[in-house]
Amino acid sequence: MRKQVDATGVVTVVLLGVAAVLLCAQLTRLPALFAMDQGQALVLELLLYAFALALSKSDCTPRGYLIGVGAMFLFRLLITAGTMAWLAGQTGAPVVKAGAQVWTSAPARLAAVVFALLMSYPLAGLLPERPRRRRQPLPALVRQELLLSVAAAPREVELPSVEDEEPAGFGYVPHLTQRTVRPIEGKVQVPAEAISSQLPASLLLPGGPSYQGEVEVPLALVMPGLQEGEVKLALPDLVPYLPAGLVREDLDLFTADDAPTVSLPLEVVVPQLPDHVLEREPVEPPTWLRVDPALERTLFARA
Amino acid sequence: MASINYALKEISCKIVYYGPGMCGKTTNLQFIHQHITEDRKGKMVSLATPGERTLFFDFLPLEAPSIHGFDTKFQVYTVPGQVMYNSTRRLVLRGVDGVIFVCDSQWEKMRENVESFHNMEDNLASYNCSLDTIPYVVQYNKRDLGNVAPVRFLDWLINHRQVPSYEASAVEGAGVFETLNHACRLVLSNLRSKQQRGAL
Repeated sequence: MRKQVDATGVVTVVLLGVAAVLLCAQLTRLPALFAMDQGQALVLELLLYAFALALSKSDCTPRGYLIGVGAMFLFRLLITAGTMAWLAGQTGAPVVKAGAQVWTSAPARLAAVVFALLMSYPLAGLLPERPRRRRQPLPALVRQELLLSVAAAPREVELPSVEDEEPAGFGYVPHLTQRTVRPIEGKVQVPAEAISSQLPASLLLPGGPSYQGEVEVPLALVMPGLQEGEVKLALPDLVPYLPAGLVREDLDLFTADDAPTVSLPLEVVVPQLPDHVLEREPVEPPTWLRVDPALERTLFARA
Repeated sequence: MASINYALKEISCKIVYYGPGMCGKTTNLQFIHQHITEDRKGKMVSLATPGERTLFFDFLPLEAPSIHGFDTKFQVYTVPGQVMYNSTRRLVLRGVDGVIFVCDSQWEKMRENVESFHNMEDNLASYNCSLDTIPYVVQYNKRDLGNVAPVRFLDWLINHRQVPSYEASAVEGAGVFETLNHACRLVLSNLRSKQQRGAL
């Protein structure tokens, strides 16, 4: 399962980082860094571990907490033991007297902080994984209201990008962040037959399959899919624009996951787009695009 | 990655034809192989299924005229377009110096074109490369068919960086050599520019 980088994750790692700094302060005889003695630093460090664990795993059982904090504490003990063993082997290692606060030089303190930050990374690995959040389908009515509000939005407002939950084809996630989709006023007309022919007969009213009219679909619905090369709409999203007498009206039974989808034919949609829609914004050309004049000749000719 | 052998005065570059399945990458290479002069081409290697689908890759060595006293060789590859062969595509892209992205102009292939383009960007990213640094041209293939999208739409859909693009019909040979020549020129120019910057 992939870790999600979100505010909770960042706060968790920061907490672990602070805990690790405390640990380092103790190991390097620097409790004075935080103006506290060894015992206080140890207690605060353990509290930070527990808080980080609670934050990252809100639905953890008490046993899970104990195991998680225990694992982190064990890891801490191993580091402590290793550092003590290393210090014992050093000549001129600092001698700490009980209760005495020993100040060392700034480089040593800086090194402790850097080491602590490095150490916080494996500590984060000890945390149990959080279950991936699954997007809950919105009720049909709410979704329709949202779509209508999007269609009526002023042009300056940017539509939020849409992300597919399931990768399709190449394991591909749409790169919608590359270009911002702005709502565009206007509609395209699609033959009702092109829509009804993609729907199961059970969804159509008796006269539906032979309906000859046009369906007007707002460009705001079309554009997000168009830049991915396919305008595929969920039927409940399309229903508000379908003429009466085409499909059954109890389609709100569908949730977002099981609703039938309809692909609008691009050869019908694209020719109706206003000219400015396909205008390309000027971009800075890549540096490699400048051809050396000495190479302006045919390298390979057709025999 | 291009190699320059100063002792032998030889430059070797790698160009990859990339694109969705059945868009005409192998057809491009076959046409080049069939219509280029004998002294400029080597033996074409192609590993295909009975249904003429590329199984691993196609390979065609080409030799360009001497440039600044250096013999210039191009190793031209195609990738398998089928979705399941992504690891092969990634492998073929390793060390690439230039890309020719072949689009299928038919309306029903638009999504596959977009997916393939993003797949190429992702695979290049796995080598810490990007199309901002690797020269590429776009070829809109199958223009001879009836159900093709207008170039303006294809440009809007695929060609965000507004790089050179060519209309082509690989089965008839239209646009094939133009695309190859432009890509080769960009690769060599980029190579020269890198060499002058001391990045090579």
